[in-house]
Amino acid sequence: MTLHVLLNGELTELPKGTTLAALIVQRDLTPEAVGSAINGRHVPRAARAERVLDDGDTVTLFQPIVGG
Amino acid sequence: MHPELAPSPWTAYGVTLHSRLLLGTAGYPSPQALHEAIVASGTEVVTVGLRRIHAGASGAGDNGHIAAIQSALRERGARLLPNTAGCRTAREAIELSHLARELYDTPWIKLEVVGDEQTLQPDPWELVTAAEQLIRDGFAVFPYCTDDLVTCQRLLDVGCEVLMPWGAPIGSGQGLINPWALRTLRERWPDVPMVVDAGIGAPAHAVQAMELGYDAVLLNSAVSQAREPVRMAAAFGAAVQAGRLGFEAGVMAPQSMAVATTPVGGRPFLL
Repeated sequence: MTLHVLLNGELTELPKGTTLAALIVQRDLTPEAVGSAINGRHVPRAARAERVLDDGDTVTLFQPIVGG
Repeated sequence: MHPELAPSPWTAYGVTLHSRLLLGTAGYPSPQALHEAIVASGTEVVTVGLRRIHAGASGAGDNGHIAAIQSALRERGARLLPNTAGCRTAREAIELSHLARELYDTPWIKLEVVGDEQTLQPDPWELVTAAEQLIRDGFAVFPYCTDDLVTCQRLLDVGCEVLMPWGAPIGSGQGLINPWALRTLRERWPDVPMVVDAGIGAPAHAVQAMELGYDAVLLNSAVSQAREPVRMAAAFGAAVQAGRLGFEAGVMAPQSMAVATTPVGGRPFLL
């Protein structure tokens, strides 16, 4: 069983039951070095393991960058 | 400089800062130049941002610039001021602020909500809405705003303790395009910490802002786009000190006619 999410603009197929925390690890990202949001709402680091992704979720991951 | 002649410190959200230059970190030719510019400027506050990770990317993907900032911060004992660049609505800015607080581990946020794509002029309605919510959420909000007095009043009303009116549009390097408005804000709220943010292109512009009595200036492109960013960072560090000292010392009142300075007591010979 699979589901589809929009991950930073890219349609992505995942096993059903995938959590946000698991997705970040699967993407080879350092959990402490990324920010996360689902459907435009911030998901705190501590809540990622409990946030099971739903079909159609829009997941946005952020990284620190330079800025003015 | 003799320690007794150094400009006085200023305070933002209870934090005492001795440098009156806030420095942006974007657009430098290399991480090394960025690191050296931060150190040369003497800044105690540097701005940073957040970006969506490109699909399919892994790892940092910032070419070492964030590491250069962190290294310079340790060397300088400086603080981070994350921004909400790119936001067009209050809701976007609020969510991004929460992300920034978690990623950078600071409640300080430079609040940017753009309302016009050509000038990147802040949207005052969205800005005030976002500021009000973020103050409630425990943020120390540094709002990037125009020099409109009523907008500034509304930002103070919702709890902002610092104002950051623009000198000119971001990255334009035009300097202070409306000194009258900036002077009015300063006179209206002499005790509110105020930072001229954006539009500064030359060290002389920073001196002018400081001579108006502003507490600090925030700039990025003026340093990062200079032919020699590290030397320009040092120049701005000196400029804000000179301007602030001038303000504290009290600039003489200008007059239309000449006033002789050498006390000769009239003509020397009457020939």
